[in-house]
Amino acid sequence: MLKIRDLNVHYGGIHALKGVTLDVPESKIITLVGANGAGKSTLLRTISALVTATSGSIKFTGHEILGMESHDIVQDGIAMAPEGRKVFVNLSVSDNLLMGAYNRKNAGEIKTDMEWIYSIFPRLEERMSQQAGTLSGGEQQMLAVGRALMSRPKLLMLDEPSLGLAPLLISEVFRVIGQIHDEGTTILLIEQNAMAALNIADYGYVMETGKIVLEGTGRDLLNDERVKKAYLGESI
Amino acid sequence: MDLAQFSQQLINGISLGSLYGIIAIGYTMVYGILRLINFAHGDVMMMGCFFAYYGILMFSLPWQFSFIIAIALTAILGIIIDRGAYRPVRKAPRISALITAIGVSFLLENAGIVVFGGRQKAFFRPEMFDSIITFHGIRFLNLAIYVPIITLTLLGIILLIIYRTKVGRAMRCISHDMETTRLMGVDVNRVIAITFAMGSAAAAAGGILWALKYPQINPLMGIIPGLKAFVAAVLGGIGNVGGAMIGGLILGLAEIMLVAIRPDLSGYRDAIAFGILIIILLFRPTGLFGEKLPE
Ligand SMILES: Nc1ncnc2c1ncn2[C@@H]1O[C@H](COP(=O)(O)OP(=O)(O)OP(=O)(O)O)[C@@H](O)[C@H]1O
Ligand SMILES: [Mg+2]
Repeated sequence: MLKIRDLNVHYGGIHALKGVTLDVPESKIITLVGANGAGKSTLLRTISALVTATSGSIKFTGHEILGMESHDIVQDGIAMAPEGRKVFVNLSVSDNLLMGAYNRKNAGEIKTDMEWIYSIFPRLEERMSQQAGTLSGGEQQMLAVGRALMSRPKLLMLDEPSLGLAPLLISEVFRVIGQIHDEGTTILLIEQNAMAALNIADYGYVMETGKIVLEGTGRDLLNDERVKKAYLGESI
Repeated sequence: MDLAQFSQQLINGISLGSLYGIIAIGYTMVYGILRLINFAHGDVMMMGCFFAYYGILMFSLPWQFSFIIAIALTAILGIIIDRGAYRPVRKAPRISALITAIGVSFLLENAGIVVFGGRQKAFFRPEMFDSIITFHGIRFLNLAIYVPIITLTLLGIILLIIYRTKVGRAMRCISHDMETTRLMGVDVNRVIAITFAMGSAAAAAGGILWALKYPQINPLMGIIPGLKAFVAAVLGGIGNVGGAMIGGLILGLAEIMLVAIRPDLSGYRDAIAFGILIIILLFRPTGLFGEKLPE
């Protein structure tokens, strides 16, 4: 579904992505793990056209999306819940969800999908008219995921959805990711919590300083000595 | 000052202040979304006046049509300015956009002098706005009543668009976080264009009312109202649309009242605005109703 080939990104003099190649097949969960500053967010931001690539190719459902504008990429079916949640704090919970459905016209479908989001995240329903800024961190994360789902994406990209959450909430977030996947959405998941991410993923990539250094099925990576040493030791 | 005089000055102050306010809305909307002080805004207002003037003079349109067409043309002018001047420097450092805005301002003023001529032109005041009302010893032009009614109605429409429509919701999101708004599938450039159109249309309406009140127009007429409106926007908390109107009213009342109480100080009238600006920037840079600025 998503095919990234030899992607290079520079921030001024910094070479942030050095020839990244990565595949996200339809209806799978793919995860990308790596330490701080490895370039994971840069990859997602390049897919969403918030960052411009220097060279390479990103194909989505067969056509090149590199060079397209962010809003057209969303229209094409790629949504992202960005790092750090980035909910619109001055808007209500339900208005945040409506923003996620910005390009959709059918009010009936939007309403049905809002109910679907509320069924996944009952806490959001209780707080639907509350300002998003007053939500707890975990609730904001749920809102960020729900908002991304409101565009009915074919591919959902999640940038560290467990960041800064208590352990109980982390397992809740991963349970929901599983549920969304089961309901038919392809997922590209970025995590520092490598253990949980590799457990849920069909296939995983490990990134270090802008390069993919390892890849394999979730299980293979979990059992890989290098992965264990570098990522699992500290996250358990 | 007796009650009658006071009431008279109150009416004058509100009428002047609501004009500052309606022009200030364009400053504050553009700032809210782009963090750009559109220094050309006063000149956009001037262009609105000339469009209306030529609509009546050259095309002999009835004044109502001429005014509405002028407002629409000014909205388009706002979109063209954004498209041609500001969008190319959108990703450049903010100072580039600021310098661009000053350039656009000079361009409009000087192009105005070349095309329209530098001399004052008499603006047509329809009969409807030309009768004197006398009431318990107060005398004023009925225009002084129309001005606040029209400007407040426009403010109401603008607030409705910002708070009750989808594109308005997108405007509020962009002003909070442009990048995340893009991730929602919003064509940000389109929303910015609509913002310029709305602000410019409000400026044109304000400018036409200004020209009805002081029926002389020239290509530099936008400078002083533009600066005053800018002060009003800062006073009300730049980025806050309702605040811009309140800032305008405060400024208008302050100017009129100063002159009424101390006629000998009338030469300092324009200094009030800049005194207020300095005080605000020193003690409360976010203005009366400004939110705390992020970062
Ligand atoms: N806007 C930017 N300008 C300059 N350098 C940047 C910018 N954004 C990221 N970088 C640099 O690019 C590299 C990759 O950053 P990125 O945010 O993609 O890492 P990450 O893997 O997401 O890290 P984390 O796990 O901490 O979120 C880092 O060295 C970072 O400093
Ligand atoms: Mg990151």
